[in-house]
Amino acid sequence: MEAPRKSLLKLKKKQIAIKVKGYRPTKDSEPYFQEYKIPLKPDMVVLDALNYIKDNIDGSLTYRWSCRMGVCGSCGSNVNGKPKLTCETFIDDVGDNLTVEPMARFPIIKDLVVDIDSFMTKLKDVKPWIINETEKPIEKGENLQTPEQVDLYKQQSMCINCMLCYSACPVVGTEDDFIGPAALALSYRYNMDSRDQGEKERLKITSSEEGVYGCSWIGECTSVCPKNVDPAIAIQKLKLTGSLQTIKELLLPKFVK
Amino acid sequence: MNKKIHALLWGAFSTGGFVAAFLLPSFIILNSILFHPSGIISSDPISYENAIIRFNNPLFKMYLIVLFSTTLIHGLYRFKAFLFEVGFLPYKKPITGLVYLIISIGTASTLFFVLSSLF
Amino acid sequence: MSKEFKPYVEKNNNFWWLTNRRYFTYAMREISGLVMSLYVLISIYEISQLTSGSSSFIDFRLLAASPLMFMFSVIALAFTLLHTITWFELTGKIQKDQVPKISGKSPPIFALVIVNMLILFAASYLIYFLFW
Repeated sequence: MEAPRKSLLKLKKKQIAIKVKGYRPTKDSEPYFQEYKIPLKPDMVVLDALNYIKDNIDGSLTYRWSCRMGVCGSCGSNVNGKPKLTCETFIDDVGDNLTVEPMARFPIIKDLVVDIDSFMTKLKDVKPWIINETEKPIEKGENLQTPEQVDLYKQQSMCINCMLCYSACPVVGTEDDFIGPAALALSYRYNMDSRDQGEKERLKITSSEEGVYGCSWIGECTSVCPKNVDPAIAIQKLKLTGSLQTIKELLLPKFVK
Repeated sequence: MNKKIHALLWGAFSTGGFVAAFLLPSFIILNSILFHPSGIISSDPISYENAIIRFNNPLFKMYLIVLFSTTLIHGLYRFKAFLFEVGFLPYKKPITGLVYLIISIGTASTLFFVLSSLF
Repeated sequence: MSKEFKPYVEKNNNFWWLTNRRYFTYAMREISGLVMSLYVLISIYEISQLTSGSSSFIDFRLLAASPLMFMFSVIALAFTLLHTITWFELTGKIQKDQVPKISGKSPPIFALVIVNMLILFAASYLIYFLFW
C-alpha cells in the first residue's frame, strides 16, 4: 500500500511557483521558460495548474489534454525532468516549485505540444490490428478466448500511446529510424493474441536493426510507463522469437511455413 | 539476408552473455587473483609446468575457445551499441568494422594458439 | 499537417547516462563489455606467451605480478560480476514465464537469480576441480 500523500496545504503552502517552457514557432529561435505563481488547491495535479494558467493568466499557453484521468495518453510532458502524464501528477508529489517542459526527444511545435508524426507512422508500420488470412463469417459466432489466452497479451494491451516511453528512451534520441518501445510492445501484443495470424508479417518489420535489435534493454521505458505495459520485456521476447525464427529459417527452410 | 544478420548477431551476443556470466568470473579469479604471482595463496598452479599441463588438456582448450570468443562477441557488441548511444553514431561504419575485426582476430588467435600446440 | 515552420529540435545530450541512477547503472553495465573484452585480449596474449616457451611465460608472469595488472584484474572481476548479476536479473524476467508455475504463480525474479548464482558457483567449482 502506498504511503498517504503529504499535503502541501497542510504545510500551509498557498501558492505554487511553476515554470513552463514556451515556444512560438514563427517568433522564437528557441524555447524559453515562463514563470507563474498560482493558487494551490487541494489534490491539485499539474494539468489543473496548466488549465489555471490558460484560463486566468496566459490564454496562449498551448498543451494537449483530454480525459483528465490517465486513459487517453494526450497529456505527456516532462515534469521536473521526468516524463509524466500531467493529469496524474499531483503537485503534492512534485513540490510547489516545479518545471513543466514538452516531452523530451520530440520536435516541439508550440509550447508543450510536440510533433508525434514519426510515432504515428512507426505505429502503423507494425500493423497493430488483428490480421487474419481469412475473415471468420459472423454466422460462425464470436472468437472465444480463455482467461489464460488473454493473460498472454493483456499487459501490453494496456498501452495508451502516451509516448512517455519514447521520451525516456536514449535510443529514440539518437536513432531516428528506431521503431520504439510502444510500437514494438503493441506488435508483441498482437502477436500474442490467439485471434491473430499476423506474427510472421510483423516479425518481418520488427526483426531488424530499426526494430527490436536497436534496443539495448536500458529499461527506462518500463520505468516511466504509467500503465505498467513493460515494453522492455515485450521487446526482449520479440528479440528471442526473431532470433529463433531466423535460425529455423536458415537451418530448416523446408519446415518453416 | 541483410535484415536477418541482426537477428543472428543478437543470438551470438546473447549466447556470449550467458557464457561470460557463468564462466568468466571464475576464470578471472583463478587465472589472475587467487593464485597471484606475488604468492597471496600459492603461485604453484600458475607455474609454467602446471600451466602447460592445464593448457594441453583438450577440455581446457575447448573451454578457452568458447570462453574467449563468446566474451569478445558479447562484450564488444555491447560496448559498440553504447558508443552509438553516446554520440558516436556518425562513426557507425568504422566502429562496427573495427569491432568485428577485433572479434575475428581475437577468435582466430585463440584458435591458432590453442590448436598449434597439438602439432 | 502543413508546415510553414520547422518544429524546434532540441540538441542531443550525449551525457544522458549521467542524469539518473538507472541510466548510470546501464552505462556501467555496457562498459563492463569493454572491460571483459580487454581482459580476454590480455589472456590471449598470455596463452601466446605460454606457447612461446617458459622464458616468455615467465616474462608475462612478471608483468602480471605488477600492482597495475593486479588492480586491472580486480576491476575486471568487479565489472564481470556486475555483468553477471544484471544478466541474471534481466534473463530472470524472461525465464519467469518459461519455468513451470507453482500454484498458478511464476517464481519471483530474485529466486531465479539465486538459482542462476548457484549454477554459477557449481560451474566455477567444476572448472577449478577440472583444470586447477
